Amino acid sequence: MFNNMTLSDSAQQEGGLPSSVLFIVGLVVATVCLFLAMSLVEFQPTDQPLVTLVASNLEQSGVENPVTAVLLNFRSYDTLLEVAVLLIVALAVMPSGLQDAQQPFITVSKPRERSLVLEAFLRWLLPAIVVTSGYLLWTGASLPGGAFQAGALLAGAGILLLLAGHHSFNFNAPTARLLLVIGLAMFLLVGAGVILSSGIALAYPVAMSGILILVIEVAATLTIAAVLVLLFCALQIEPLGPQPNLGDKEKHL
Amino acid sequence: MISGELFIDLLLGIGALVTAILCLTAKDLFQAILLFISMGLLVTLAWVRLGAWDVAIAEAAIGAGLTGALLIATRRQLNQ
Repeated sequence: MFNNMTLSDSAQQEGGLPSSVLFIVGLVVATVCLFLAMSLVEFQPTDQPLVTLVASNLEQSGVENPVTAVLLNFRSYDTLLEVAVLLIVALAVMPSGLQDAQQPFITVSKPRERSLVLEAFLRWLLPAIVVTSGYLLWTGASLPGGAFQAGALLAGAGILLLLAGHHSFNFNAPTARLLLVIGLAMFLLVGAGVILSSGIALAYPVAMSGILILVIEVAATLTIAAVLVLLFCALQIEPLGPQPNLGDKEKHL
Repeated sequence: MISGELFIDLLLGIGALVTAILCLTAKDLFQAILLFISMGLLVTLAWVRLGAWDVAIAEAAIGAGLTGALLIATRRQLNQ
């Protein structure tokens, strides 16, 4: 219903615009695209000082994957702010209700409608996802992978668990709050702690940088997974409600 | 061999563009979401072809997977 309304609204607005405006907008977009294409053609792939800069300093970073080295060591301040942004997003969509703080993080209940295929599938899939996520986290030190990928996979496992309907998450529980902040907290603790040895925030000592990066990444993985599952939970208020027709919509997923 | 690789790259690039246009012009919201997820998968393959494996994994997990789930959940909210 809402869908049709917005579509017809935007169609009316489109019809209201004079054709000269449309022409000018089209011209501007075409010009920008042309310049982008021209700059792509003229781009010299050999002239990349950053690649050699990262490669020559890689052994100081404590990891072998240049992407992880940049994200967690050379430009770790950016990643710290990204984790902070995730926490702000989590705060924005947190379910209100302080009385829920006494409830446990995960509650198990009988679902109204059971999907046997999904349940049987998840019994095999969930452990595999968790192990794969751990592998991605560990291998991020030398091969493609890392905290964001591992956290997203873990969140996918959490969403599948929610869809099966047996479990529900309460993000006001102390455990959940700990999960939501541990990434940023650990990042800040490590970042501030290394001041003692190197004198500069977030400048890890070379001998310990590998293990420090791993500690930060483990905490960040948990936080990223928790925030992404929280986002999905925030959109999933209805299935707990009394509407009976939601069960069959669930099957389409 | 080179022309075969070029063919795959062209297919991925044009496919991503076409699914993006179809996604933007789709009348049905559910159709648009499915097209968005397909576009995410094509873009994932494009990142793989560019050698950016980290971005490809992140795009597959977040861009195609989680965003799709979030969009479908949002659509269900809108249909209430």
